[in-house]
Amino acid sequence: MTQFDAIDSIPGWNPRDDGLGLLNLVSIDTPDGLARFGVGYDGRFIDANGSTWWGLTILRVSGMGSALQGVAPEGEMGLAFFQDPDQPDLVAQVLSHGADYVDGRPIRFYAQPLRSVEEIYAPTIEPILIHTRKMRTVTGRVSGAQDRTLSLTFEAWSEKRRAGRRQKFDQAGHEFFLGEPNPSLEWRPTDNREDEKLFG
Amino acid sequence: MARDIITIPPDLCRVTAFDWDIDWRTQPGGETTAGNSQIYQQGFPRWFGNLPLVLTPSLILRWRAVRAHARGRLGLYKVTMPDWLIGVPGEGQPWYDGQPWGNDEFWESNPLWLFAANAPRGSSTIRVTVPEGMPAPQQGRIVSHNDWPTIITSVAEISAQWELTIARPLIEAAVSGDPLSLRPTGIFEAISDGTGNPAYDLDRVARPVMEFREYLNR
Repeated sequence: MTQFDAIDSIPGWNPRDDGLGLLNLVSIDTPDGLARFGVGYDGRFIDANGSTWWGLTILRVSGMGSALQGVAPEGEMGLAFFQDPDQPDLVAQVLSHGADYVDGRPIRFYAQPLRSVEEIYAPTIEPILIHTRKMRTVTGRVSGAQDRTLSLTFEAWSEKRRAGRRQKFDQAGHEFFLGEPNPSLEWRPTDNREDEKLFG
Repeated sequence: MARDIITIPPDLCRVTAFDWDIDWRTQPGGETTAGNSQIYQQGFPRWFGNLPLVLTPSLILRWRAVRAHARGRLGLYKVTMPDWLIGVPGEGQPWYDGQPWGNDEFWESNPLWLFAANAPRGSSTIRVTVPEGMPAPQQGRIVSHNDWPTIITSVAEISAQWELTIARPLIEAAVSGDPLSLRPTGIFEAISDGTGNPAYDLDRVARPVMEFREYLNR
């Protein structure tokens, strides 16, 4: 069963309804535990399992494609904010954890279906896992005196697709296929020019 | 950075107009060529409102102090949302609005109903009892529980108790005996740093409008 079947099988909630309630949630798996956030709204969401998700209006997640047609869609989560001069530098604090802090760890995107306004405060459905991605890097950007941006990039599970093993139509590929050397493809045509006829 | 909560004294909340409303945070999903439309709710409902004030010279100074204390958008304001359409007991009486007693202690009236039963977070139907001298529940009244205001949508009297439905569900769980305040208060933040500036002219009367939105991350 895929996550989309899970979305379709909730009693009393239909993604094609003309009145739809939904919250976007994201959890980041770090060595210090799961960090849970709501994307793009404020408020404190307590899910059906009792976990607290803090809404962040300044959190932005890039659009994410599906891993179709050989594409490995990457994405980015960004946090743009003004640094409070009285507080420790947040960018430096986050970056001080080092590159390994998030590298290779999962970031999970959830949808929380809401059947009524009451369920915003007392949900009965567990959040539905939509995507799992692998985090790669955290970068900080500093512009001007107080303007700061933190970005977290993540890769799809299919990120190594472009480095996949494949057989070429040449002697090496033929040998790999047959298990023994074979000269048949030595003079194979490699382009469409036919200045000189190959056969007949 | 610490976000102090500044209580706006109730006598400063004597506003000239009322426009408090709940923003339900719905988005239109667009209309299809077949004429169907979709409503999409994302986010927590929150209150919006303006305080249009008329301030005489002594009040200008007090308002300036309150507003400066909050330091723009940084501070949070605890605002009373008075509704003249429904009076509350004690209104107009001495000390109703937070005037100091002889020992300089401030005092304000806080009319209330009491929860008659426990109500968990997310309840939109609650039971209350009405203490002696307090008005009976009425549709459309704004009440608040732990500084989370909401609107009463229906009332029914059931054996000396009242069953109320409220538009925005309870955000904090209430136990039996908790007060439900009839002078609703909420925690708000200013929409911009410059809102509510008590600028005055030759007549020395300021007419600022303070724009608020509710603070939900608590």
